Amino acid sequence: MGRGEMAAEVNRIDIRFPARPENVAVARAAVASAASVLPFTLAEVEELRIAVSEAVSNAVLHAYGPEGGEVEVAVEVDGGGVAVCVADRGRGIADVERARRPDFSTLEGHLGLGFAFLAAMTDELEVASEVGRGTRIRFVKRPQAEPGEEPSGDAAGGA
Amino acid sequence: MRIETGREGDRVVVRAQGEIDVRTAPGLRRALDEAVAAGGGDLVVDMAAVTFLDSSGLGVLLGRLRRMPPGRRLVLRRPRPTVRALLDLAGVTRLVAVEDGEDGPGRNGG
Ligand SMILES: Nc1ncnc2c1ncn2[C@@H]1O[C@H](COP(=O)(O)OP(=O)(O)OP(=O)(O)O)[C@@H](O)[C@H]1O
Ligand SMILES: [Mg+2]
Repeated sequence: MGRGEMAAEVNRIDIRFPARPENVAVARAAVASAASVLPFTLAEVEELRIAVSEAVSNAVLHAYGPEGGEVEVAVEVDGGGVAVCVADRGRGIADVERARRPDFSTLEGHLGLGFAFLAAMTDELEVASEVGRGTRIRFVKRPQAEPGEEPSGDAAGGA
Repeated sequence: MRIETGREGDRVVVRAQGEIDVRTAPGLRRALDEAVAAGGGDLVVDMAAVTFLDSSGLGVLLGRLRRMPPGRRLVLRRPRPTVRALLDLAGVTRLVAVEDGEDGPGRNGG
């Protein structure tokens, strides 16, 4: 998955779990935890959690029928940022370009904002999908603060 | 996520606590639909204790907005900054009243 020259510096974590709604929170927590060594602001950590949540929720909601299936999440952390890969072996997406458009959804009660949020929350986003084979989402997020600068979220004003 | 429903005058207040995501959004949807069906005035969703929101939760909130009976408003109360940022990004704060105050109508972003 690229960056071979930095292999020694990369901390890679692989998790695999059934495509069930309760595991989306597990994936968010795992990725945020792995990325906590980086100087992300609170706002950036939240963006990372939302991106993970959208990618994994999509695998849970759209990839498989009632028989279910597995989701694989690979997290790679190096000095420059975190790369997250979310893969399923489900039905795939026939028209990725259309699926990525805001407001496009095939599911009742959903807005079709997941891909738009993924793009907004990350620095790089790749979507690869093959009908009948599955879908792979890869995104990268990097801290925007200068090295040494105090990571300071703008959240929670209270005492 | 925990959900509590109460009244403030004729307003129905649904207080959500914890993370709203693909697992917990259906529970929030049920609570909001029940709160609307029970009658009363505006539906207030108190979000002060909501620690996470993504497109699944937004789908529930905007779905309820679409179904509000005439004359009753959907109001989002006290979202945290990280949650508020997503509401802004999705344009929700242009469609729904957001209250910052402890009780009663506060500053209304407009
Ligand atoms: N892993 C996947 N497998 C199969 N289809 C997918 C997958 N991810 C997304 N899709 C398709 O792409 C569409 C758009 O996805 P997107 O996340 O933008 O919206 P949504 O999931 O439908 O709604 P929302 O994310 O707002 O809850 C989905 O409705 C679905 O048809
Ligand atoms: Mg989605």
